[in-house]
Amino acid sequence: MIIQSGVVFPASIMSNSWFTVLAMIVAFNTIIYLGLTLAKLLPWPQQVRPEQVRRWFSLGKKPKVVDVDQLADREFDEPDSDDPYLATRYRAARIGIPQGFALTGGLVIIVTITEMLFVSESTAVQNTLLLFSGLTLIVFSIIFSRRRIRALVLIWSWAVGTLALSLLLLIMTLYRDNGSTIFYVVIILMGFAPATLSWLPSLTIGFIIFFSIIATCWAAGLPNMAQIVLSGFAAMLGGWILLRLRLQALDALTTHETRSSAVATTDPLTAMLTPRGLLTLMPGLAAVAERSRQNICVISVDVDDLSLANSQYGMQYGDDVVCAVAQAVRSTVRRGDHVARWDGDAFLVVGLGDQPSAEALAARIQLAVRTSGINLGKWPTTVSVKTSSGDPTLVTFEEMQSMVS
Amino acid sequence: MTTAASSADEGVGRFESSIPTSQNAPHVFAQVPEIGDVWEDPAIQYGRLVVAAVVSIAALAIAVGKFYAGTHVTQSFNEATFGPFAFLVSNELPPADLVLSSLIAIVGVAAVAVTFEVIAALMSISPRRRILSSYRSKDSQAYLEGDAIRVTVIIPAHNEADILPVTLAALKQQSRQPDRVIVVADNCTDATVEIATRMGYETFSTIGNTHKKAGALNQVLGGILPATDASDVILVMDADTSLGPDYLAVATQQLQENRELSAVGGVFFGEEGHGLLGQFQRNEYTRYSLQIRNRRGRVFVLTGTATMFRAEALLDVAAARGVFIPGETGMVYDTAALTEDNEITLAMKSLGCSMTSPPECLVTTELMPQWRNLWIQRKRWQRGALENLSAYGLTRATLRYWGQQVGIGYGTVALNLAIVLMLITFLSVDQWVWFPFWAIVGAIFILERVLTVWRGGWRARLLALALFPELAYDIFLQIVFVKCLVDISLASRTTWGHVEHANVLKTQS
Repeated sequence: MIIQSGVVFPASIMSNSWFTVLAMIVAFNTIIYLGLTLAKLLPWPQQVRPEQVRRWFSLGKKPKVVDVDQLADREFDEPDSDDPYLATRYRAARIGIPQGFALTGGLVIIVTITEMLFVSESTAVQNTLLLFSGLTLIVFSIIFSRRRIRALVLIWSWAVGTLALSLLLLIMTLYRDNGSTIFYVVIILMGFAPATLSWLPSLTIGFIIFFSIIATCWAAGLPNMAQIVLSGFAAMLGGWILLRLRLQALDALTTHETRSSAVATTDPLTAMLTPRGLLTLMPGLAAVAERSRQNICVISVDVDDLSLANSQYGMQYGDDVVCAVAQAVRSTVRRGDHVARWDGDAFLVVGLGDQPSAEALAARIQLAVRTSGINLGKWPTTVSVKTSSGDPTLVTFEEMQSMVS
Repeated sequence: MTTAASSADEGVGRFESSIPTSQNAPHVFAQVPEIGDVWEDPAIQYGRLVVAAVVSIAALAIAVGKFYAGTHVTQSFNEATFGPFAFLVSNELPPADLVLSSLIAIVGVAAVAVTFEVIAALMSISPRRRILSSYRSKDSQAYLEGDAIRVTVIIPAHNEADILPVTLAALKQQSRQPDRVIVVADNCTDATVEIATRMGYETFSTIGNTHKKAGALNQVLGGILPATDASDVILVMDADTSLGPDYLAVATQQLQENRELSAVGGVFFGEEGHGLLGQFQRNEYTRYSLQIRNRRGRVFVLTGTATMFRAEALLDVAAARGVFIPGETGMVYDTAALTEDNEITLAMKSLGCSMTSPPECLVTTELMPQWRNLWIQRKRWQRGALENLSAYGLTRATLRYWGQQVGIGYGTVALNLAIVLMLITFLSVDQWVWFPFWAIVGAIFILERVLTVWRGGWRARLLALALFPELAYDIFLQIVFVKCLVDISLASRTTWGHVEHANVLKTQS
């Protein structure tokens, strides 16, 4: 007989339940590893040549001619809606819904594994089904975040996906005949509405899930039916309140965003573009010029002796002069030219085409300022105008700007 | 300075406009000021995802173990004698259900692996290369049947005066001679250029290169690629690598026969020497080459030691950067990547290039002489692989590589659990007990390990037979893996400074 005393640890360690679990895990792993190692030794079939694959899919032999512009457009992220509020909601949905799918999938997997670890009554078929649906949700999340799918389609698929998951859980409640699973559905009902960011799918699917809960309670004959129905109703209301709060927050954000972007690119005194605002428009202008094979012209308008006017007649007069000149410049240049207040007393006009005559432009601006009556009783305002033009593919904006300053 | 060299100097390939500007930089009409953006390295998120995947698979395994632990019945040991020896035998078998579910799991894992491979293979009919080739000038695409392929060998060298004569001599032994050889001297302070010139080879010195091998290759390729056509192939090889005698012949033949093949990679073996550590690495490389042979040349990585590319494919990679794949447009190699060979493999797979590694294309490469060097090399490989994968994200082409990472992660958990179990058992029994079932399983393992290194010679076979030293080596590699994963997940920056990569991605996203 053997004396049960180990070298370091007592031999009884081997009959511990955790040791048995460890042994089972290792046994499981080892058999899998053995199988995969042997599988690795199997020779693979020959590599398939692309032309064979093309033949299988009977793809045409002629390569499709791809338009470069079309390719560029695909990369360009267009908003889903012209309405800025809807566009913000859809943008949020585009980010939120794939995340929602991934989180739900991950949650389903974690809950199922936890249940497998700590609740012994669950069956293998159920768990496999749940693990599979969790993985499916994650795969959907990956597809949705990768492909450009219309926001409304995303919203509806989230709603329908939630419905499918809820129905799966409700069917399991019927099958298992216990009330624990039904509360998962109630939790889902609470959580799904704010992610849709849209009332119609949230209301429709919310009611369907709610009535499915009632039907399940009734069919399964659960004793605490009133309780479950009441909590389902509360969850539905809670979800809608959350949705309303989220939409309010998003709308407030949109208002703020629209305002702040206007503020950042608009000069407060003259309501013209700021230098930053002008620069953001430049790549687009350069592209238009390049396509229509035109030059870009840069015109600088400097108010002469503005500091002298400021010191003689006060800052308020100086500001009025700047405003008047701004008005004059705007009315003088062509429509479609971009006008910016570049500096305290300098304006910059950028537009398509060759450079106009600087003297004529200066005379017209001065005339416009004078007719505005701002200079009455004071010395007349004069401006100095410099112009330059160039091919945007050859020169840079900075070079042109330094030529006129 | 020639025009090609000067344009390469400023990092402008053929895809930038050739309009003369004050600096030779890409022409931009106006620099729009960018609003600062919070940017997080994608590697952090992906690293955490790998950890999460490994943890959930481990939890699943524990659940399975727990499920079957209930059905387990302990049996008593029997005493058996064999001649003068007496020993204990347990006829215990794992529960039949457990074996069954393991078999199901094997089928499942294999099905997933095959699916990933098929998805990756279908990338070969991706329209991306057709789009790219429509940008190329039409006359350069003319390809005559039976037209002889021109081979240009590029050898980037950074102070390799000692080994370069050996490498160049091995090149002379090739059964098919290259048409042009360029030794690229990258920031050399020794006699590399003189040696190459004296041996009669063309040299190219990099100018102001700060991006190591990738930067040097970009400079030289920027000069020679614009002058290539459909019959040009380019072999990029390390200066410390010796090619097998038939490398060029086999690789050119493959490229000539299969018009759509874009790259032929080498199968690398370790050089002689460096004692036990050298033998470990040689065994590892031998097993890897056997795996590639079994996979009929479906490579994981086009080795940086020696790979022959079709010039058109490199042009496509350069044109696709910043559009389909990460990087700077016009650059063949991504200078932000830690491991440029792994990166260019992902780049080519993402464009649907087909590639192979025929077993005849042997390459003998340098081994790490000390554990410290090995630690640094493997950390660079592992971290580079994870960062490159994160830069590409989860795509059809990278799916199988992500699967591989999760597989390595779970392999680490499984091997160490098995070792812990054996250790506890060993330390708590007073007398050895034989389990015939597990003894057979162990024997199959050892047999597999010995057979896979059979062609490595007697030393390799003996080392594999001893099993435990190789297990220790595997654990060393797994520690490197875990260390890299932890570093990435905790967002600790390495000295390689990967800020650049983030910027490149930011501009394109």
